[in-house]
Amino acid sequence: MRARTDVIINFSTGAVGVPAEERVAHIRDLKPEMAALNMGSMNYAIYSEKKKAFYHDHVFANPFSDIQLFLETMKSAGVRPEMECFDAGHIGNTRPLIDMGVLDAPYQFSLIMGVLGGIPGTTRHLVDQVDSLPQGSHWQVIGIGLNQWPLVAAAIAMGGNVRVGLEDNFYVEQGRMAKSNGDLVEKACRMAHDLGREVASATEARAQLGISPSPRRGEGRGEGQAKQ
Amino acid sequence: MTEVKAELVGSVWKITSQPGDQVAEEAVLLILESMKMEIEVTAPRAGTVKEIRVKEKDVVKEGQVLVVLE
Repeated sequence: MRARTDVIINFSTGAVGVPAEERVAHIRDLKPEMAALNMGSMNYAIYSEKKKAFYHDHVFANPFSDIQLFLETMKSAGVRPEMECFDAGHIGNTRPLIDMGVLDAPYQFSLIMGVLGGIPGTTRHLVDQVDSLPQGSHWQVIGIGLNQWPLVAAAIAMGGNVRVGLEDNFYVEQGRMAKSNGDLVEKACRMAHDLGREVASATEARAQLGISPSPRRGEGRGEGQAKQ
Repeated sequence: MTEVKAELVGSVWKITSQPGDQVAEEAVLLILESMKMEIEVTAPRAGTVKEIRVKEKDVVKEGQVLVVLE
């Protein structure tokens, strides 16, 4: 992939019930440019109103000891942490880490909204989350389910960045499922253009986020996988 | 014959069985991804996989038949 494109490669580290060492091992080995860092613990559930039942009812555990391990691993590998905040308190969890010197600027936040157990996916909550960020942070919104589109619109209007994809939402609009990630990306681009924003190329995004302009060709053991 | 259906909207992340497999009750037939989670679809009873009606990366609707057991 690195030979073909200069997209920013970002790996997930999130998993329920998997030891922290295992969740971060591929970051140490493959050294992507960015990796997800879950910034706090929460209930993580899916609920069916139709069946009046939970499909999944887990605790997504991310204690500070794990966050520190992930951060130290990313720092030594030269990987930018993409701080995933599913709830209001998760942003505040950066404060002690900044104070300790394990988390350095520039700060990269993903505001994930609409997971049951986390912050609701409303514009009002998005404004509050953005207001809570450390000065000068880069941020994107990740709306879960059909909440995604109003949040995309709000983030574009607020000058933020957006993430869309089948991992988060299956619908282009109510009742119409996306055939691929491309359908969702196309709609997000259209919304940005309609609101007078431009969509950055991978090269431009690297410059804006302060990430090395050249992909890390030749580093790591194998091919990367674009994620998030 | 038993139809194994999707309990929620998702994308097919990995198919872990194939036609002809003898499976035990609760055996994982495939894994869906939904709401950022991997969700195992398991056999409701022991049997033989007769048909798999989806392929990896397909987006499936709630109630859609994924696998047929006999």
